[in-house]
Amino acid sequence: MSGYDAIVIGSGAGGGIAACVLAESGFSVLLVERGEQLSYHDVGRDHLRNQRLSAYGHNAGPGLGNPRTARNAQGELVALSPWQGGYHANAACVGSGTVVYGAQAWRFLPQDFKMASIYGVPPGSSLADWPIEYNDLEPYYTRAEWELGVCGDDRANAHSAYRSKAYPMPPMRSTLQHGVLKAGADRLGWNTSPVPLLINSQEYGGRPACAACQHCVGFACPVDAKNGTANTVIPRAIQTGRCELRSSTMAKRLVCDDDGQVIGVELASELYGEISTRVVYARKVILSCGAIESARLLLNSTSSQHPSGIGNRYDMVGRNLQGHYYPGAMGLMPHDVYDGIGPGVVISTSRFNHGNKGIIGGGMIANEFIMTPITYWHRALPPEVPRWGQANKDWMRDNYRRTIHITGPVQEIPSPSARVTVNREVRDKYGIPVAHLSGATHEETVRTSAFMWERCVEWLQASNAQHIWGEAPRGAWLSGGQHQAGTCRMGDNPESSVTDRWGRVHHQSNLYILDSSIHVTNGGFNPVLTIMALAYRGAEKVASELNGH
Amino acid sequence: MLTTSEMSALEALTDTIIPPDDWPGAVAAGVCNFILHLLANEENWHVDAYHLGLAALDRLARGVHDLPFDGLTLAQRTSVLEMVEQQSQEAVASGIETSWLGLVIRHCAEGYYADSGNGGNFDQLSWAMVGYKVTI
Ligand SMILES: Cc1cc2nc3c(=O)[nH]c(=O)nc-3n(C[C@H](O)[C@H](O)[C@H](O)COP(=O)(O)OP(=O)(O)OC[C@H]3O[C@@H](n4cnc5c(N)ncnc54)[C@H](O)[C@@H]3O)c2cc1C
Repeated sequence: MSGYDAIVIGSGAGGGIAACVLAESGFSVLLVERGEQLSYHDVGRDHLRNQRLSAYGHNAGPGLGNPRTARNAQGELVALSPWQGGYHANAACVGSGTVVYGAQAWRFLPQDFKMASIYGVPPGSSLADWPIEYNDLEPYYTRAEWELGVCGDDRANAHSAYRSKAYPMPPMRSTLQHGVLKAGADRLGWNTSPVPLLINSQEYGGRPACAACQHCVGFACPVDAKNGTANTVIPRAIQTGRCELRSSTMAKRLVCDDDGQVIGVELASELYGEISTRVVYARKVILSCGAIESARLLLNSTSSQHPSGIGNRYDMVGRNLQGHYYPGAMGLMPHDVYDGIGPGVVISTSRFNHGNKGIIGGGMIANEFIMTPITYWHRALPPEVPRWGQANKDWMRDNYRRTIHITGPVQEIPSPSARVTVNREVRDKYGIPVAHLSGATHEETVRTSAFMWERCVEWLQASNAQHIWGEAPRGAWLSGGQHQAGTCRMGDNPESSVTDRWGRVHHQSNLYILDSSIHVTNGGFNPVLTIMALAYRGAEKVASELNGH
Repeated sequence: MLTTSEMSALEALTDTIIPPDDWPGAVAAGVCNFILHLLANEENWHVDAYHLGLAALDRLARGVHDLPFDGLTLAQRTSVLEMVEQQSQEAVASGIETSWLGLVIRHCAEGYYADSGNGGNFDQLSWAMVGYKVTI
């Protein structure tokens, strides 16, 4: 059967890397992306429609015609548009979230791969160890840091693990907030470190240094200094002449042979409102659609051999959806702490990721990116300040520049009932059944979040904040969103996991998943560097199989 | 979309929500322009809420002060909005909804503080006011 050596579905963090590794290994690759290729100007600078504040839309997809369903607080089934709460969007375009992300480039810690062994399994949770260890991933973390470009200070973080190589670039320039928060942390005896970023602190990879603009997270970079897959590994893949990128094309379902082995993909595209479909074949198929959409594609690929979807023999596909709770606190400082130097996130501590008495896991905390004024108005005003009138205007004028926001991702304790299923009654614009989201995280996530919130407050107090506000998250809800993960976890036991330790779907010889879906747990850190490292590792394995090994 | 008298009431309302001082109030910053644009597009399903809300606000003002809302001083308008927020008897009787006031407040803030490309925040004046400077 003629076809490609590999089809990679989804061109985000995982997919972009998989396509590059395979094309550079000499294989023909079709890289399929449902979203468009976006320029800096396409993404724009709309303060109400971006991937950070999506009041009326967003700027990096997905667009209308791609609903998901969920039950609202009243228990009614509702169809959600991509920028509504409860939809759990990341992005949909060439590069996906990596075009507009904040680019925090964290490695998980060795303990993050052994959560069940270290803490035990809380009743009702699906907490488990990964089948691999930090040391298995270390070379690939290094590779991601060097091939895409990460800035940071590898010696500053006392809580980090072994690394085989330093960061390729020094950390970002310091800011006013750095000085204030460093002094506070010193008073507490906390170790801090600059936040590692997939951003050029100096010229790197043929692109310039960061221009310190005020629109980093949620927007594209005006000088192309932010390193995502769309401006690094994807152009490299295309440069080989062996990778074909097909954007605005949706993978509808996976196609199997008589033995139930995946051999191709049915693709759909839209031209002037008309949908056309065709099947393309390949020796290997790699799913990199993100945690919600990869699960949806497997569940939608039903056939006589796979009545409940591919890889779903044990009802594991779509379970353990997780993201990050994000407790945070704001403090009013005695002086101006705003110098307008973006991205703004500069100082962090990993002191509380583990070893917290009576708490499972923990998380990294850092100061927040520069907020646009309207995002500040929506998210950062103290509860007692009126939302209108002279008092509101005075607060904005006097205190926008005096506010520090400390926040960070909390390691979630997964719950098997937090899950993606498909709703066959509701279809997207291609006629494909949509993802239905249900369930909630485990109670232990809420407890860890409350603990981390107290640490945010403590840091602000020690830094001389005069007034502190913001609440600890209360209650267990469904997490996912931009840090979605876990729906096709890897494991050695096919009855309790979806893929093996390389990302290959159990009982499938040609089908791999290389994206956030395969995370067993999601660390107490932003996830993208781990997704990238797993994609390097898994794609190397696919390449060696294609070579006949 | 709105009649002349509704526009006049809207201006009075938005300038109560973000009053002028050393820096422009809502009207001078283009907030009404922003709201009309929004009501013609994404928020068109709120047009009726604006018709009803502005009429109810006027009834409340006439009931309390014997004057239309746009005929009141800033202090009077402020106290009328406080009645709405506190759900005073007169406010409830006028049929005005606190959720509508919340919506207008949100629209005002967005018109005042978001980028000028959305039709408000003329000359990025609010950004100059808070000290948010776009360098590139
Ligand atoms: C504003 C923002 C800020 C962020 N900041 C950070 C940060 O600072 N640090 C960090 O670690 N992470 C950050 N993230 C998250 C990060 O972008 C994600 O973790 C990462 O992109 C997920 O990688 P993935 O490969 O799992 O999926 P994605 O990168 O989402 O890629 C999936 C791609 O597949 C496409 N796709 C899906 N289904 C189909 C289909 N059926 N057919 C064809 N194509 C399909 C999607 O359109 C998408 O482009 C941020 C995200 C956003 C939006």
